Amino acid sequence: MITTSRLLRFILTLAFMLGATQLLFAQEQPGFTSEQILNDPNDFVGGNPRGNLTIAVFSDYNCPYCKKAKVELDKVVAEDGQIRVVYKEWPVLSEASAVGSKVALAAKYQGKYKQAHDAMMAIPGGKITAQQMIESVRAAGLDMERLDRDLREHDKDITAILRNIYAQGNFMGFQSTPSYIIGRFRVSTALDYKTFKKAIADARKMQTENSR
Amino acid sequence: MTVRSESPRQTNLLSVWRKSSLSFFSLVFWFAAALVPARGESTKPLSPDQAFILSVARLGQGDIQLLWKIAPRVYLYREQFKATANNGAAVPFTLPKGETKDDPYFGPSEIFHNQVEMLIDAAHATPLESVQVTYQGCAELGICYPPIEKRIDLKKLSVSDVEVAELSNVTAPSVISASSDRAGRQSKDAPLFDGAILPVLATFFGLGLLLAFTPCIFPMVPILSGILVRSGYTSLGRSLSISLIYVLAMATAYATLGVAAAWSGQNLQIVLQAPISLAAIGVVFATLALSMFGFFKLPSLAITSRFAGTPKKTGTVAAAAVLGFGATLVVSPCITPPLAAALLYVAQSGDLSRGAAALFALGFGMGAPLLAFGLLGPGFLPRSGAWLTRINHLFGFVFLAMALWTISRILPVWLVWCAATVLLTGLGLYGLVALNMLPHCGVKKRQRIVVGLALTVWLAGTIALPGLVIRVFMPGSSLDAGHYDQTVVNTSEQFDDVLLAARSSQRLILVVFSAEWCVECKIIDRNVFNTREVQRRLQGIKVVHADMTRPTKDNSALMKRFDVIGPPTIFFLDAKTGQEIPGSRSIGAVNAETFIARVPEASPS
Repeated sequence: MITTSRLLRFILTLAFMLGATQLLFAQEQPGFTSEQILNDPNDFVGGNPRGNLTIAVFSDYNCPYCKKAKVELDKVVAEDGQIRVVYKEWPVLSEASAVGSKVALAAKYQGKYKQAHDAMMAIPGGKITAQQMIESVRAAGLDMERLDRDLREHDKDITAILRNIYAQGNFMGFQSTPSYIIGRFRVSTALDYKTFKKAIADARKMQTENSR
Repeated sequence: MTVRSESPRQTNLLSVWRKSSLSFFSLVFWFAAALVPARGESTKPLSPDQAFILSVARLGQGDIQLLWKIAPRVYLYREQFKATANNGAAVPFTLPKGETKDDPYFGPSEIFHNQVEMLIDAAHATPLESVQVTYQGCAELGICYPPIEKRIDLKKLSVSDVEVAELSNVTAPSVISASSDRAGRQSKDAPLFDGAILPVLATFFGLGLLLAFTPCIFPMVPILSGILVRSGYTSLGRSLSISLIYVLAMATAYATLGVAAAWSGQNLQIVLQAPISLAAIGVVFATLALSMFGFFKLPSLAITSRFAGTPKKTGTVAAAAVLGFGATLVVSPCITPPLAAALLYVAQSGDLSRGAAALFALGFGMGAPLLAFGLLGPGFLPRSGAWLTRINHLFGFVFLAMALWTISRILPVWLVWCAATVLLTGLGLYGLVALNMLPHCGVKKRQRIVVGLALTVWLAGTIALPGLVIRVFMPGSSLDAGHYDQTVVNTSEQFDDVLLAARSSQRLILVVFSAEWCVECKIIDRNVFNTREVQRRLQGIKVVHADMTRPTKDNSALMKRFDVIGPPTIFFLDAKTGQEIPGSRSIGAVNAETFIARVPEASPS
């Protein structure tokens, strides 16, 4: 008799073996542990930082689906109260997106990452220029002089962070935006309220199964 | 049977898994994709190469056809297609019209479902070994793919992957630029265009008339005079119609500038300041000058027909149209302020034709006094005889001067002044010779020589030589150097450097967009920045001259950054925030009093 739990374990075992093979053949790829991806001190953590489930969001400021899904995820996270959200600046669609990501990471130095990120994610569309993103951040009330200084003084660090996230995305095999890590699931499409809830529930179930 | 009753071997493996779970979590992710429970359907997202399958073919005439087969519920953006040659140059191509997709999260965009075909015609494809194409799309499932780049080998017709560069190295622009009061400026300027079309046109016609009495129109006068002289004043109607054609061509040039600017986002006049177009116009003027001297007869010239008494029409009319249009685009210096106003309107309302009509009315207004000139001018001038030849010759000198003035923007200063000296000396000597060839009229020959020599010495000695000496041999005493703290910049980076340096020590930064070819800028330099009062007011203010003389990518980026249409544009920045101070901007001519009134009080720090 096959139960879900048993199937899961079997697949996990298979994954383990596949992974080991992968290690043998894919040495040139930088490896990351879940710790390195989900607890990277460079990432902004939102939601409930002490929540029992972690969702990592890989998104781009010129990805309309990311923006649409963000609204849904924010709602789920607020209702749930036990979800830890890790924000991954993953600009892959346009140069303007990369500028936006740099602005967001620079905003972290004045403690306003969330404001900057939310402002830029709130501009609808997929053809947003860097200037429009900057304007939205200005409107969100950031200290622009400070932001400019941080952008310039910390450019090396910010670039390094972006490169690292880029490598993480590659390592995860993400090929499109948005991409998520929900618990131990890898999700490569935008979800809506219902499907986020389902994914979260499944991920929690899997966590309890594993820790049993 | 429960989950717990596994075979010993399975338990063993699982316990290994559990013990080492931390270090192997990431490997689990790798496979976890298959587990995605999302959507309750087995819609695993396609990889980019599954979503968009690209094939290449050469068609009958040698055209290259790139065909993308697009998976169901996946689409490509029309505007994201790019094709470049190996050297980075854009390769022209055609795409069919796409479907319009519009929803609040996307904004309007043109997309392709199912398949799309890109054509590169044989003329563009044949010289190339390979082409790189970039394309980008999304899937309705809820994902967007990063831009995909492929190299197409045009000999083998094969497709290969190109690694897309990581974007992390992009340089963020300054976030403290002067864009915040853009909206304010627009609402201030827009009423000019509101209401019925006739009042708008009348307003612009009136503005044009006012501009006609500024130096803006000066370069256009000798050109028209020259054409009229060349045509030989056969009749009033003819003189008037030539003037009218000339003025209409001017007005059309203004409208064209407006349309080109609205379409390309660039001030065409600045683009036209390229050495090649300046040299071309210089050559046109020089050719006209030589024909005025009678060295040769241009096929279109009416000089011969003048003596025959049958005016040749088309040649002169065409010359008037070409010169009116060309000279306005390249020579006439004052397009910035009206262009700025018209572009604001076009940008706001999207009504291109109205903006173009307004600019046309403006150009017509500027040219209206020239019509009066065409009406009255001939009456004052002799109809034939030796005098007319002299006047032809004099306009030859005028055209030579115009040629020199045009190419002076691309020649070194010393050469311009040498040429000016030669030209003026030549004019003086010509006067000497001409006086001696005049029929006897009661003036003795010796007196004529004395007068002619005096003319030569006066022209060369008092105008050209001092300029030559000052500009070339005593560069330290350049007349332009103001007694205030100024820096010339050409790129956005240089601008940021100045901004950063000024931030600690100064409160205000004055930004001046100017160019060598901009006559209004010169007048502002002389009448505003070189006055004591203004220089006193500028103490403690950093002055940045953004030099727009040569059109480059860098300085047009700088113009975009500050929303500048063209020189002269002057405004103040708050050095602390780097933001433009509202109400401090002047576009176009400004006098010292107005300028001083616009100097902001030092902002509270």
